[in-house]
Amino acid sequence: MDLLIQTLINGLILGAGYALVAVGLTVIFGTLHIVNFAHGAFFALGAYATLLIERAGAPYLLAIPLAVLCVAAIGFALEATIVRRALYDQGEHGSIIVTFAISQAIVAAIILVVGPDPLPVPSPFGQTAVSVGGFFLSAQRIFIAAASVAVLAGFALWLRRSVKGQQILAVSQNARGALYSGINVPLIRSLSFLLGIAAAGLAGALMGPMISAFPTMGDANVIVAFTVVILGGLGSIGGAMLGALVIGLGNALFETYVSVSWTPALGWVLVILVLLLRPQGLMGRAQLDRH
Amino acid sequence: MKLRAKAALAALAVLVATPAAQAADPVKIGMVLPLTGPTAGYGKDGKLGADMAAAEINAAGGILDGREIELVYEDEKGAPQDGVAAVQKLMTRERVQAIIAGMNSSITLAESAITKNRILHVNPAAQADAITAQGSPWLFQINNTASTNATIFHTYLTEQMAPKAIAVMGENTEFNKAVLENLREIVGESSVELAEIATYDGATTDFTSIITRLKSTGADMIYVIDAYPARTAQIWKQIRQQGGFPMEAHAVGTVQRSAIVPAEGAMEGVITADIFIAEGATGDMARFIDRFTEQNGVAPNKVSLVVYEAVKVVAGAMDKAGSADDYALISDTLRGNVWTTPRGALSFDDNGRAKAPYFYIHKVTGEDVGLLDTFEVE
Repeated sequence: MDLLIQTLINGLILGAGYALVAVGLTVIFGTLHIVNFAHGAFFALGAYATLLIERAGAPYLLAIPLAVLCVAAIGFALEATIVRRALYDQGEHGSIIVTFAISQAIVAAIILVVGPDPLPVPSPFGQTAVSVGGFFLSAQRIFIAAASVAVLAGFALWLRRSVKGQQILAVSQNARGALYSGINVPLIRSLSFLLGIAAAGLAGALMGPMISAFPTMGDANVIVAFTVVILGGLGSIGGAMLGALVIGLGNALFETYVSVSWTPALGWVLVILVLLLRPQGLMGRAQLDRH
Repeated sequence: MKLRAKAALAALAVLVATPAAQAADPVKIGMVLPLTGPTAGYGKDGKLGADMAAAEINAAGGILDGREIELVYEDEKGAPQDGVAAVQKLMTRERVQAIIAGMNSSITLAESAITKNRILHVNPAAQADAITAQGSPWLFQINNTASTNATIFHTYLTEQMAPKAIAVMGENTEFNKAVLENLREIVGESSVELAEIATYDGATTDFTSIITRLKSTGADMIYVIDAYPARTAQIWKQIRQQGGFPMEAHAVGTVQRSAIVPAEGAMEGVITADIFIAEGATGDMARFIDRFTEQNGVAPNKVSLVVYEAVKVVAGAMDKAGSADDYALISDTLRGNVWTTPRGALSFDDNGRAKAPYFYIHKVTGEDVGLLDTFEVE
């Protein structure tokens, strides 16, 4: 029983981390129909920005928002110079090539500027583990889960309640219709891209202390994030959160009780099953229509 | 006048094509290293060693009557397909006379399929026995094989540390396979129990549940088999967060500062081993460490050392054989001689395997490893 409880705790906390990485991907796809292969590179930038800001003397908790701003600024520059010109209204195929190229350029730039070795991202939570009733909980993971839930809940609320949030949802459903209704579609697209990139940067800043900063640190995480957003439904924020929870719990239970070796396949098996039975994903279109 | 100019050009062309002119051409050695990707740190360390070796050889007058060594680098990016592409490019486009490639066993196996019977290939660091078990006549290995290293280390773990039960976790790779095979054999001959083996995929991003599962077996020793520095740091942080194990060990030859530093103290006290340690070095090794540190501003590690040795051994064998491309002769020369390196005398057996003279048991201390015990390799 203890093993099951510890496994469920592991899965829930893991899922919260996955959700944070996946939500940026799904926002960008939902609004812009861009499959962002550079998401992992922005994730890495978030961790490196946090590390460099901390080295400059800022504490970790202050470094996180500053790092998110830095990543958003880089995202803004790339959006204005490349993404806006090359990708909007150009279909999903072009986006794969362009964002992959951006990803490679960012990774190469990191190696050039900081070097290839993994670097520690200091956090006040460090390796501290909290033992509650015999169950181990990493302090950093609790912080990630709490931050993830707070940010995602706030973001979902902002989408529903604010004018700009409503406009993002309108553009994601029908960009032409939104334009005819007087919504500044180019501005909303830029805003959506920045929000997606900022989410990747935030995920990197939060997860950096756990996995260290290294140039390709986003690769494996973004693969999991893709399974999460496909499972939940491309473009659906609620779907990304549900998908992250399913994959997080599924992975933890499978690793503990079935097979460690086969766990990476589990996410893709779930994705195939969902696509066969419910092609729009768990909360794909239905969630978008409801808004 | 035009006729005279043409005649002069023709004479010049004949001169250029003569052996005397060719003798000044550099001997090109293809260096395949992970310069980007998850093990790029190894590539950086290896490049420092290779550059230092080439500079020393060229400063001493080169090889084969004054020909300089020219190193041509290609990036294998930590992936087999990129390793194969890098080797193919060096052989066909760069026309190199030898290949030095081998940091990761799975990648080296893929690369050796391309170099087999076509070019001299020296593997500096990859350990899996399968690499040199292929019977490739022109393939040589500087590092010990995984089974040689593992036999000494696993015997040390089972006899000196004597745990009741070992829980193992490692990435699903050729290196892991060789190490596990040896561990099963050594543990089978002892009273130690192999509690559980968890083999994970390279794409695994979290190890908490694996560690939870291993802890639930009640094993008193955790043994991690992973060669990727960032993942090694992450795994040990997560082991520490779950309270750790009474005894903790990490696979031979895979613990460098590039893993210890990002682990932020989580690897403190972990037992590992390697064919190199800077602590207490004397003689040629101490001089090598001093020269390296002076030139590069950082101390060498095992990767820098074995790549340095690979370049030196290749150049030395070509020079002694009197040829840069008669691979049968160069291979015979490599097998038939003893090669002086910072570690001492190296000789190659029929499979092209060298054996390190000494083997060191390490304990992670601070941001580096400290010496725990020394063995002479038989």
